[in-house]
Amino acid sequence: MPLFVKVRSFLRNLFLSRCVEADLENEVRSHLELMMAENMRAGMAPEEARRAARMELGGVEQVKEQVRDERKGNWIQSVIADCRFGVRQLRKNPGFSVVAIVALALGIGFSTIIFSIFYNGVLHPFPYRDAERLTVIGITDTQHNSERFREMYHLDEVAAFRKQNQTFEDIVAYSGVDLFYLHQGTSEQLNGCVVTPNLMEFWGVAPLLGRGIGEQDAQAGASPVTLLSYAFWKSAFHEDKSVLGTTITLNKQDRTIIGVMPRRFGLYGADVYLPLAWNRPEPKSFAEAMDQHDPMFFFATGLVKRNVSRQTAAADIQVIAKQLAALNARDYPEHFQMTARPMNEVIVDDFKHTLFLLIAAVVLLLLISSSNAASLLLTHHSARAREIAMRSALGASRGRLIRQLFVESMLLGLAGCLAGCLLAYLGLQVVRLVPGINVPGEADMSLNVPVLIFAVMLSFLTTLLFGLSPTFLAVKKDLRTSLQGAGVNASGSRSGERIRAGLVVGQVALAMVLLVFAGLMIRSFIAVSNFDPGIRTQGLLHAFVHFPAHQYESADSKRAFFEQLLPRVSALPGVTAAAESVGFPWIGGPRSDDVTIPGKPHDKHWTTNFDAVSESYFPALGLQLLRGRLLSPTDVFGARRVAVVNSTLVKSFFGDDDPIGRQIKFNVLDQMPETPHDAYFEIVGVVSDLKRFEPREPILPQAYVPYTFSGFGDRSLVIRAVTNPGLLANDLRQLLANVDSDTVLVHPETLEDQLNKRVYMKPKFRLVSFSICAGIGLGLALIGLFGVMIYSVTLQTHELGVRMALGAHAGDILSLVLGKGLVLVGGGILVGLLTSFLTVRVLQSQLWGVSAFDPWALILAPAALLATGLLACYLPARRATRVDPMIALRYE
Amino acid sequence: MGPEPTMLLQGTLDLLILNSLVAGEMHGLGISRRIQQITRGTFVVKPGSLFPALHRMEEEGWISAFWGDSENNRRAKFYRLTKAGGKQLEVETKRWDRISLAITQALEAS
Repeated sequence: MPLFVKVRSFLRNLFLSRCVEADLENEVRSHLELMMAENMRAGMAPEEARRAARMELGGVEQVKEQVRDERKGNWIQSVIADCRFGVRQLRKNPGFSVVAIVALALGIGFSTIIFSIFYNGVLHPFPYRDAERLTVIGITDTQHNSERFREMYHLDEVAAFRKQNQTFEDIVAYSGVDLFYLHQGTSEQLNGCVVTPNLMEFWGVAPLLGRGIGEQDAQAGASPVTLLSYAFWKSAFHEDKSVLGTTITLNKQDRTIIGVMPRRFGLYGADVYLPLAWNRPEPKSFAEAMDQHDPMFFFATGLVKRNVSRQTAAADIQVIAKQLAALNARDYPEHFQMTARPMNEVIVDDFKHTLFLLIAAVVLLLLISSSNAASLLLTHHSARAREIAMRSALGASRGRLIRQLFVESMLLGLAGCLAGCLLAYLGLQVVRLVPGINVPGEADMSLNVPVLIFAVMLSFLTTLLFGLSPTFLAVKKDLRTSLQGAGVNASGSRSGERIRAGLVVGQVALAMVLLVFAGLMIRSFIAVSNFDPGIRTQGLLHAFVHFPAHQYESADSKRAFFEQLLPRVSALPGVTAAAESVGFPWIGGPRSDDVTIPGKPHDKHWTTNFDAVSESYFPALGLQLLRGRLLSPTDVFGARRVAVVNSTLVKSFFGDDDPIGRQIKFNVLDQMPETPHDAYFEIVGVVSDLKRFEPREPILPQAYVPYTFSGFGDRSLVIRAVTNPGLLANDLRQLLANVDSDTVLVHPETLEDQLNKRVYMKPKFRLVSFSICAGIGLGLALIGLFGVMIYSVTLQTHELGVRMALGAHAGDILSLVLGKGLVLVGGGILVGLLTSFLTVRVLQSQLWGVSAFDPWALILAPAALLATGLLACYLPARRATRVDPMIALRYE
Repeated sequence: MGPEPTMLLQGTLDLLILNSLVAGEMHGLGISRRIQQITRGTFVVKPGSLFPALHRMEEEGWISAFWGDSENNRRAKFYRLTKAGGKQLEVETKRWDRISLAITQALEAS
């Protein structure tokens, strides 16, 4: 029962406070009257009786206040009152409040964005069951230290892993395949993914509509089916549920749509999924695989058993792989180690390092923003020193004052948290679109519950960080000085000023570290941008040309096709050269494991890239002829066995010998269909080397032969234009359709776009993200500096007035104030430089072509800080020179 | 083992109020006067101490309050002991006995 009474009292005090107050009022009044009556009975005159009763009672309000203090839930009401008061205080100083809230919001918001990327993108990206046990099986070449030698396998290898392992619950095989979706008379290229029939149970994701791929779909003679991804269902069928059971034509085969996967199922980022039988016959050659769109190699992803470590799983697979390697030594390095890596780690890979650095950067930003808020709060509290002293003198306890001031900090923290969450919400809307954030496609980077919890916890911590010390400092002051001082007496807040100065030095130092980081990223990006692949990168376009199955299989038919197509492409406005090739140096092309050169016996494999090109390939790419001659139209027309090689090939295989006139055979051609076997090519010329992505990347020997010697596989178009070739894609499609409407232009892409994706994207992302952090950090530090300078000028008004009255010039005052600011900025820069020197090494792996101790970054960052810092000090200094001595002295 | 002086004082006031209510319901002034009377003027409970204590004890559920008429027909707030209050009185009495015994012994020993 007493508990019930307590709760009832608590609730009554909270919600019926008016009744409770009225009751108290009545009680005290009746008490007074009873005492008066008592006194009158004792023989006092009414007036005297009233007076005596009042004397005995004390004060009505005091008694009531004492009762109120005893009430249950009293603290809630006083906190509410504190909050109201706090809100009024913050509204009274909108400039201070807005700056503090914005500073906090920036720190909290950016931290939350990065946390969401880390949590939802790296730690928990997959919507799959038991995602943490998903494991990618890979091979490491231990001899050559090539960590990811291979992550794809022949299907029978994966089947062997699956059958013989002891440590996996199950293993799936899947691979990408280019599909051509015939749709209203035009072919559209789709990303297909062939998957083994154990797909559905393995990923543990039910289809959104219809059914998933099952064992029966992969059996021989089963009717062809396909499973759609949500994205493709949305874009191609506008989420129409009636597509189930209808057929679509993929690679000229009608397939029944059996289901649609949910939105977040994004295996391989595919548009459609096709079943693949574990025992399907392997294509005989790479060329056949290419022709039939039947991949030769597959990813192997396993679900490692509960309580089995990945090391154990890798060791288990190692045993199986050793047996496979014994049967087929060509597929495995001499010394290798099987690896079992978490699936998200494989996808995220080195983006994680960038992310860790970004986390470090936002932590710095958060520190800057909370010390900014702290110094603002210090200033704010010092301006109220007299008010606080007065409250204290009137009997407010220290704890009560601390609570009241801390409630203000909490209000700021709360507002900062809300604004930060809003910023994070907006930021996360665009994060998906930012190139360079390398997380799995399934990741849902939003402001979900764990992220919100993080933001709130972070805000709370930040509030403690910035709110506590100014509060204690404000309350600690001894009453006498504060009450005595004219409010802004300089001597009264020396300790506060020292702390403020310390905070500003800290902010400048942290901003300095961020600036150095950003500077290094900028330098790194400049180095990347200056990367010279050996040819002009502008105006080069590459696209694959896909031929219909069982057509254009002979060399002659291919030649006939390109002899029609190439002149038409060259005639397009702006096009200076159009060429045929098989591959493209920045995408890949045919490679021969070994070559045979009469008179050059060798033990090791002489791996050589080669390409089958038209004579216009050299001018299109802009390769320099170094010796001999290029391929001529007659070489190409007559399919003559001649070759042009690059200078690396000459250096590697011929040394100082003259390669012109020597014979070379690409051994891989002996295994290709539609290709003359045992073919030797006479070297007729030497051209310059090409670099692909990095200056450090070794250049491989490369040969170019006439494309007319073989009819295998799909081919490419390489176009050089003086205009932006990216705009030519539609014209090219038209020309292709004019020659043969069954052919398809696939992945037209400019070299610049490819380099952008492969080379510039990551450095650019780092550049932009770190620059944003550094920019905001610098901005906040400058605001902090400005605030402290303005405040110190206000404190010094009297002193400055005296100086001016005694004859100081404006210049003297200016240099006095600027000197003070310079000490702060200089101190910050020194601390920042020292910190940078100590920490900058961690950046090395993210840099490209510059040292972590790059002098430019280490000189320019302090210079920028010094210049902007002086500017932030100049305005308060100017204000100081405008002090009117008469007004200043009147302050006394 | 011994409670702090303030605790002792507060405890004493509670004990005296509870004890004075054993005889029956009473209004604030009545309680105050009765304590004064039975302690022969040793304790004079001022309203500033009495009311907070009454309200606290009411919220604890030891006493309950109601409005009624005083002996000379004036509206007054009366208090009465509840069941929980009776128990509390026993607890407080025992505690007080222990303390006073301990203090007496301590004083005799010196």
